[in-house]
Amino acid sequence: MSASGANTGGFCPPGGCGSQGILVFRAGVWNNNPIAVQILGICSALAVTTRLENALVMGLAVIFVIVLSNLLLSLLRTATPRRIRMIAEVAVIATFVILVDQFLKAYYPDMSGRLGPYVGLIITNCIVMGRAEAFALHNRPAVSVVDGAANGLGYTIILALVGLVRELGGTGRIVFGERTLLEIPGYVPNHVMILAPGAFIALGFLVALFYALGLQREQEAHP
Amino acid sequence: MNDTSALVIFVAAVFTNNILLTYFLGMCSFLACSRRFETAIGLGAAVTFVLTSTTILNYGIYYGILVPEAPLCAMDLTHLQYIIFIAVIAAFVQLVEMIIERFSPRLYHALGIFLPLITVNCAILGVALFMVTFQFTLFQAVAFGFGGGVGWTLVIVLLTGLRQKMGYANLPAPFRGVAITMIVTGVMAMAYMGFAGMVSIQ
Amino acid sequence: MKRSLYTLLYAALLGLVCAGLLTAARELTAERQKANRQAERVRHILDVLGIERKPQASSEELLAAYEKNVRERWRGDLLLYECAGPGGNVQAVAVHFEGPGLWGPIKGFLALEPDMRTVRRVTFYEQEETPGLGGEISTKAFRKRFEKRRIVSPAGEPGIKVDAISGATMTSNRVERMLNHTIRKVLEAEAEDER
Repeated sequence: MSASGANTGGFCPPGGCGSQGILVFRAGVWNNNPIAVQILGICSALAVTTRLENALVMGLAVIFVIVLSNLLLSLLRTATPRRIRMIAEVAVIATFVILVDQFLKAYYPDMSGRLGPYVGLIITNCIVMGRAEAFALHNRPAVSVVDGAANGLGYTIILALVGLVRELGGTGRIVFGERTLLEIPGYVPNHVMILAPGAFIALGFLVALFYALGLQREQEAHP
Repeated sequence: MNDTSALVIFVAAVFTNNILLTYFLGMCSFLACSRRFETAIGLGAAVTFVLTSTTILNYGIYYGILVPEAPLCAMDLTHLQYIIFIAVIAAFVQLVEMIIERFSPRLYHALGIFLPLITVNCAILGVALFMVTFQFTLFQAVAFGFGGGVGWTLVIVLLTGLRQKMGYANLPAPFRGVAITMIVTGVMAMAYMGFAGMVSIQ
Repeated sequence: MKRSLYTLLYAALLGLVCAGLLTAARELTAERQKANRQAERVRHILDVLGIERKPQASSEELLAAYEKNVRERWRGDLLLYECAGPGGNVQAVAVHFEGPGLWGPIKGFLALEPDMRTVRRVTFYEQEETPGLGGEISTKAFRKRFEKRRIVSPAGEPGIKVDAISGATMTSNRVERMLNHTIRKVLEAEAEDER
């Protein structure tokens, strides 16, 4: 389910920028949430959510990459030959991912060490590729940016929630850098939350919660 | 330098350091293609093949060209590793697809949809990156790639079996689909943790 | 024909722009990245030797503190990090150790008093052990068990016995093994030196 836009000339579609923008934004964050509905980008949602801080940094990195790659690919959408479409997408996405990686290595080496190879794996993050292919190549730059930001935000929210549950459940406290932000007194940590099984189970329950709150699935669900 | 034997690394990649249950790689196609056995096994075989071959290729390129002391190029090009690795993977998959289409249309129709899907399978790129992080030799890298593929196939087949059984269960509506799959995979991951200490990848 | 040419030109241009952006980013940050890598190595040495540093010290500050206080000395094939006090006398000696843990490698530094027989401090700066069990080796409580221990028993046998953490037998055994391996190397290097 991808929002398509009327692609006539001009910066904004007929009806103004606002209406389509809001629809696209709501879709990216809720109705068409990349993790809960499109079921993409799960790898990193499990790998980097051992701490809330890591989850937020990864979320920001993905937002950066997806917004810029959507913008650039949308600007180039009429110029890009069909045959090398996929390669062009991969090249643009990879470039922005590497920029993020170099930035982290230079200015936040601790975080770079903790996220490890998963920063590079943003390239294969199906959300980024998915939005580039499904949206940016068929829509104007302005709304592509909104779509990118919305999907990135939807992704980050889920990551943050999983990270929150795993860090609180697994260690009893929330730590950012060297400062402890929150600590539950007298809590005996449940270590399985920071290990691999905890990631799967936390995400599973979170998605079930979203569905229970009314989020519509993409297709008929068979368990 | 790492002098674990290649066989040990193979066993580790299948059980103790399973690329799906330990490193969370390859989830997307894992969730999409685990409904029928034929699909699961077909995809697993394809992933294993691509994984082993591209690991060898990427190893050659990384140590032959990208590192500063490489025989073919004296500059430090390691910051380009992501883009080069993914390009190699995409090109290889494209090549395999063309060869299969030419020589066995039947196999092509059976596998067809999977091959492009494999390009963006994070497991392939992930294994290449781990190969660099763990500083494997060529044999170790091949063992890791092949073992990774076998381990991935094992888990996806197990999950397919579980999902078929779950088809008869009466699940509450919010849990159907992704949610219960994640929870079941989590329990499988717990079972796999029992392998810890059996062998060590270092 | 014109189409293929355009495709080729487009691909070449895109490739050039991407490569250019990346190389520029690399050049701009190369110095900092190098400093960060060196500082990473140095940070743990400073910690185990007990050299004062600000908790949020920058890479440059860490490297400066290292230059000022630590001297590297090779004994055979063993690299020792000596912390020199005012007046040049050695106050502590650190040596690197590593080995396989349960889930991944365990790396750390062992700091000895100048007599090279008493443990001053132990740090584990890299480990992937089970949090709450093997992972407890990084906690102050566990590391304190090593302080003031002799690395040679009264009977002259080299080695330390590590009290295992309950529930983390394998991790504890491996830690004991790698520490004793390093202790043996230190004593051997010393014996070599004296010949």
